[in-house]
Amino acid sequence: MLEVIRSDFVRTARAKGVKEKVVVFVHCMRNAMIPVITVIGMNFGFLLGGTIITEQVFAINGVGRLMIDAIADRDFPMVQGSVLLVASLFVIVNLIVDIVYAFIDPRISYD
Amino acid sequence: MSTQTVTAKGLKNVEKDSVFKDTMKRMLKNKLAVIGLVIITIQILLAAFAPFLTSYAPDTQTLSARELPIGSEGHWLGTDNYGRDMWSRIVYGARISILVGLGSVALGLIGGVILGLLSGYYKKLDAIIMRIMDLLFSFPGILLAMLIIAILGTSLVNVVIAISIWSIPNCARIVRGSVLSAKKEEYILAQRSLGASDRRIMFKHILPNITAPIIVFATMRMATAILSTSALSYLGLGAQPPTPEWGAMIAAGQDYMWTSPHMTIVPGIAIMLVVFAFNVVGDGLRDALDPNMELD
Amino acid sequence: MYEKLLFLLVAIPILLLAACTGGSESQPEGGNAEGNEGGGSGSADQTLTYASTSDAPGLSPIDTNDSVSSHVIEQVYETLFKRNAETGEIEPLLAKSYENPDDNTWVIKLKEDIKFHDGTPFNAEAVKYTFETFLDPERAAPRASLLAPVESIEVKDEYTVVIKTNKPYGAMLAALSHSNASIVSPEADKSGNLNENPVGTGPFKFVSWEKGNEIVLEKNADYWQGEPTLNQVTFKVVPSVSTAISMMETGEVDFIDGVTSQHTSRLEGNGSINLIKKEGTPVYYMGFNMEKEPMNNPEFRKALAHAIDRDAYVESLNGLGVRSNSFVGPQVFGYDESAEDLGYSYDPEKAKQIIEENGFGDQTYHMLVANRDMYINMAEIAQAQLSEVGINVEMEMIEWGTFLDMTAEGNFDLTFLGWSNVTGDGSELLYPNLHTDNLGSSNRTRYSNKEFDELVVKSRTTTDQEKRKEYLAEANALAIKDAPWVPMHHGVVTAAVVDSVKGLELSPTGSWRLYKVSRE
Repeated sequence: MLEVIRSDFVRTARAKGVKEKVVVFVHCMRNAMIPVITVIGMNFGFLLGGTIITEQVFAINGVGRLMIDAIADRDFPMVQGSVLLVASLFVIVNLIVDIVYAFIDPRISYD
Repeated sequence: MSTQTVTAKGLKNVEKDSVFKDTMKRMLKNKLAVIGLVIITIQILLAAFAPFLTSYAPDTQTLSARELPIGSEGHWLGTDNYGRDMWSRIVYGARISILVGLGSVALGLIGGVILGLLSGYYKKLDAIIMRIMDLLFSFPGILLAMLIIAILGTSLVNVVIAISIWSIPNCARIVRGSVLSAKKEEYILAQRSLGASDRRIMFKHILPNITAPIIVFATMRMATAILSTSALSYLGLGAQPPTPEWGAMIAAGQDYMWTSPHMTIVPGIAIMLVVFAFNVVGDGLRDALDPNMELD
Repeated sequence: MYEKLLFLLVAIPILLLAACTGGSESQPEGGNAEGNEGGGSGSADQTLTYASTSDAPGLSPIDTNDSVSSHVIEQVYETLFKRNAETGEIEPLLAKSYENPDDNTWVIKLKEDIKFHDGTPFNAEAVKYTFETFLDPERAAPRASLLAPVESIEVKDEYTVVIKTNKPYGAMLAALSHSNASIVSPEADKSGNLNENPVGTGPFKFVSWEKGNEIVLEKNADYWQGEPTLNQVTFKVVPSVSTAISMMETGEVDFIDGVTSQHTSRLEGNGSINLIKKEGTPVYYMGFNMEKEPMNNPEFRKALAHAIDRDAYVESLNGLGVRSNSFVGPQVFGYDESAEDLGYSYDPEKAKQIIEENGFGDQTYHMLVANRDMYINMAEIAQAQLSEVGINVEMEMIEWGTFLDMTAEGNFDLTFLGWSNVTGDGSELLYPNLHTDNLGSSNRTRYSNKEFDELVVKSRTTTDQEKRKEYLAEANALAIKDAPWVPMHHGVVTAAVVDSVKGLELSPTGSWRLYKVSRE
């Protein structure tokens, strides 16, 4: 945000007499979102990993616990299923992040 | 001819020394990194001299002295639910955590460096190797480790293998990036024109020039490896009792949280300190080695 | 145009994802809300919430064989006889009286005017139907062995059944008071699935079952012994005991059972929770694989029995175990105090001596442990104590199902096991676990002794209870001397209830009935 607010186009917008609110929420926000989204995408994986531990600590019946129990019981179809579920969720979130990039900043494109 | 060789050698030594000294000097300016280095040194000393620092074996039970609190006579960190000395268990746990960390990082580096060099150097291999790495990347880290353990079975050795496999794609990606930029340097071109073999170029010329990012990666990875080992042992997938592994100790103490909180808090603090130390030292190294370098 | 298309591309997966997570989240939440309502109004009127760590596999007495199911079954169904929780005597429940015209015949008179929850009358036909279904090989009831000696079941008149056995069956009454021998409604079993929709004569009626979350029962207002006080009972699944205790502290759960030693001090420290302990019938032991060297050597077994400090072990259980040398526990029919003088007490010096003389310390032994808290605890203590006398043990921890398979195959040197003995009868302990007939199935330690076998068979085929007791005591003494097991401790059954719950009856087998329970 600090970087973006110092950039030329913000100065231009201000010079045009655009309201501060509009400058912040329209001009800056879009540009400041890019690193935020990158971090969201990357941290989602850590969060998924973290839920496994959290579910165990607080005894929540989630996919992570399901998977741990399945590993302990050597129930492989169940392990495969839960891994597939979590991994696809992770991939989908990353795909969405990539698509959102292009949506927010049309300069980014994939060939 | 001979004089020239001597000066070249001399120059090389001077340069080596100065790089190391320079790095150390810059590291020491970073207070956090110094704290980290001190913690790591303490841990290594504990691990190395464990038998001399403790008066009990880590798995000796005294059923009559169960769940003694911190500060008890003869057991300054108290005892666990089997009357085992917590201090002994923490010290021997330090040994396990450092060995597991080193083992899994070393294995991961070997795999990652080789794959990274190959895919950075040969364009044809690049696509194949990087797609396989992408495949491994599509699993959240701890999930990948759990999957590998599910296949191999639960034991500390398998945890090392699982964590090293999880490190490979990260390492390969960093090495590949560095190789790609190093490949374009003129000295590589010079070697090639002299007719050096690909293998020689890769291992003798490129590898020594990309050690900085690898060292930083390895240090940061130690923190992840130690934390993941504890996490997996906590989940019951790693060390099996009576191994004094810190994560396993937390899991064992969990049922006694209300009556003997030291059983979970002490190993928890140990894990926290060590992971913190490796992280700040990694950060410090990165800043000291190359301020412009970026790791993902 | 292009931008709009892109927007759609982004929006659709997001919406889908939101729909997915929203859908999956709202369901358990809805369930919780209902549960809370039940629990919330519980303090106001007569409801009770019980928490167990796993869900019941089924609710039919014929088709299940586990304690979680039987806790629900015991509220919904009733047996012909029941064991008095205080005296241990067997009393008639649905039966009125019985007589034995000869050793192989049981004439049982039934109580009259009792109806199942679905309106079907309880009579001799229902008993005949239940037991015949129970014994039907096609139905493959897991506890069919309870009534194995039964040859025929005949209806003499509306309220009289005659059960004929092919040989005298001493433990008949104990078998008939087992919760798996509960009488089911024939109509309900023929037209539906009792496992999903149980119908019995008990004080509570089945209402709903949300798999993996909770089972709800409501009172049977027409119960033949009079209306129960509690209006509604909820059996909730809470995977961790720690969490269940926290829920008791916040009032979401009123009652748990099977409390283990690590939680006792926390429960005892809480003024609003009552911890009920009662000496029980289970026995927990270290077993040797009697078919392998050197475990088949009595000296080896003796050395290991001397090496384990069971007094210290039992002490570490915080009062949740009873120290005894006997296999047949103090609360089990067939126990005799003289057994305490038999067996091998803690004597590490003697153990070391035997081990050195025979060179037992030269190899590493394979200790197979089921990954359940209690067995892991025993194994860790035993491992440490055995290493002190020079016996190296390598522990392998595995999941319960695999553990049962591996022990049945004899794939171990040392192991830890327990037997909860639901009938409370010594024959039901010695026959399945130590008789030659059951080698390779429930006789996991593979003990085989002709003299012992004869005594156990006699205890099963005699109907004179005094004589049976003598045979059992003798067989017990013989087995203690041979030491295929080192009895670690005899179980103490436990339950923790919040203060306002009154009248809970805990039996030595760990079962309980909620009929007389009320809230204050």
